[in-house]
Amino acid sequence: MACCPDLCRTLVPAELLGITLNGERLHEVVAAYAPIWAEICKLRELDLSKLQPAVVFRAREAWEEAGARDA
Amino acid sequence: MRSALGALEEMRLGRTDPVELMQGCLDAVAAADGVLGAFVALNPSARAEAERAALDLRRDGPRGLLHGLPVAVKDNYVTAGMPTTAGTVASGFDFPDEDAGPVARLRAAGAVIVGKTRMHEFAWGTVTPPTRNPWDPSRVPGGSSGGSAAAIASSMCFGALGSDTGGSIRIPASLCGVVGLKPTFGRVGRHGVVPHSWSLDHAGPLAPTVGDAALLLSVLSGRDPRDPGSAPEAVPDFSAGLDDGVAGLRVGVCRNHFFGRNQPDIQAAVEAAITFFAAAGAEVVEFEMPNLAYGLGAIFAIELASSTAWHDRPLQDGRAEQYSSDVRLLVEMGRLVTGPDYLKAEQFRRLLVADMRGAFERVDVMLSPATPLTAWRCGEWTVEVGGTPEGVLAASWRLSYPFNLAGLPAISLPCGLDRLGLPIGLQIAGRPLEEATVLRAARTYERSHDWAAMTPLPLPAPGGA
Repeated sequence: MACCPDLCRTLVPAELLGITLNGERLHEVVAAYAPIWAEICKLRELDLSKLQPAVVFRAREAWEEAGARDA
Repeated sequence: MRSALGALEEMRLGRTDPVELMQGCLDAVAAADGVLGAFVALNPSARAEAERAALDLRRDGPRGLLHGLPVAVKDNYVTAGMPTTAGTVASGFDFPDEDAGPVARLRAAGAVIVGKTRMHEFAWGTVTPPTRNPWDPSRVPGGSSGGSAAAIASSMCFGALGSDTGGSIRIPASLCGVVGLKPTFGRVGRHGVVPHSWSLDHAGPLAPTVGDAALLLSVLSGRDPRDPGSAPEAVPDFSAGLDDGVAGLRVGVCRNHFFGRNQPDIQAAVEAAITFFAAAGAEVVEFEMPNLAYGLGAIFAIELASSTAWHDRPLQDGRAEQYSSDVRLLVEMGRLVTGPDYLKAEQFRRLLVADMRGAFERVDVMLSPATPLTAWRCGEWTVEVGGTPEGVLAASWRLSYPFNLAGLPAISLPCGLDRLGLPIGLQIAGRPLEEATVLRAARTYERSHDWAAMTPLPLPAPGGA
């Protein structure tokens, strides 16, 4: 599905997340996700706004790694 | 289960050679792998390579630390001359016919590859169907490196490669009664290892003994510029100082999260291990890390989102429908993890690392069970530990994933048997790049117990009484 602003206004949340599952399958996946979602909700309670994510972009390293891949 | 160091010493003394060792492994495969299913493919050149190793050994001596030693490779490491499937039968995957970085290091050290070991599909689970546990073939070997652990426990090889994203080396090691070492994140390069979750994946060894694991880690470690996560630090000799004991070592016991929701026999075995360390001269320090209560959400958010990103094409073109049902469910589920949830989980890792660092200012290693349960029955997807039913994944990796989130080295080694005769694993973790301390503590425990010498009973012949 090609993405564009007009199309975006007509999409349901599942489609916005890139989920192309049919209704019944989506229901199964969401049901299985429920206990995991509960754990993630606990995480949302934390105020971590002062912390950088563990995965950060390092320009110099990315530059050198790109060179190593090309070599 | 014979040790790698023992086999190498026997070769040095001229009492055996690579051909005899390989034949012993292939005989064990022929005898038991019909039941256990530890291997997904054997190396078609195994005998020829062993013969060449024997010839080289006679002519020039050993060309490396592992010369002539039969080892196995988890099926998510690409290999030259053997197919790679990453545990899937789904179509459209074409993994390169070349050696992954760690496989190349094994070969350069003279090891001879027996074959590729079975794994949970795409390393996304702790069951490894249809592989069986050598201690009780009605039970699972754990996973995702279940084939590697089962192969070592049944003497089909002297060491094996595994990978560990939330416990996939330590869980099968614990359930199969062998040693499994997850090194510090980046210590072993992952070039050529099929990714599962880039920021959590660790490559490392499984082995019969702690000394064997140290030897394998020495061979596998080192900078690999082809892996962005590879650590540049110098590699020590991990076998040095193994027998220096634990007098004065500060042994940490985190009383929340790691204790209280374990099977009783496991709890008792690990408490006895803690008592052993105190008697051996270590100082036992107890503490708590309350933020571990948020860890399960964090590991799930990162692992689900990452694996779904890697499986993006198969999800979009329908090939994911060919996956086994549990793995398909997980990779479809990853779309439900939002971007902010993923990044919050990565922020949480900083918090956890700070907590771990605080703890490791007071201790040198941390002790816990490796898994809260011993091997469960094949086909069981829900288990009850501590009175609460939970999925096998959530239960089995509870004690191992914190060290993936923090990137710290952690080992599982045998710690006795439960009342059913199933192996129990003791986990020892350490500071970043301090595998040597972890290994020394593990070796001290190992040499004072005979768990490493215990092996599963021989399997009954198929169709026999």
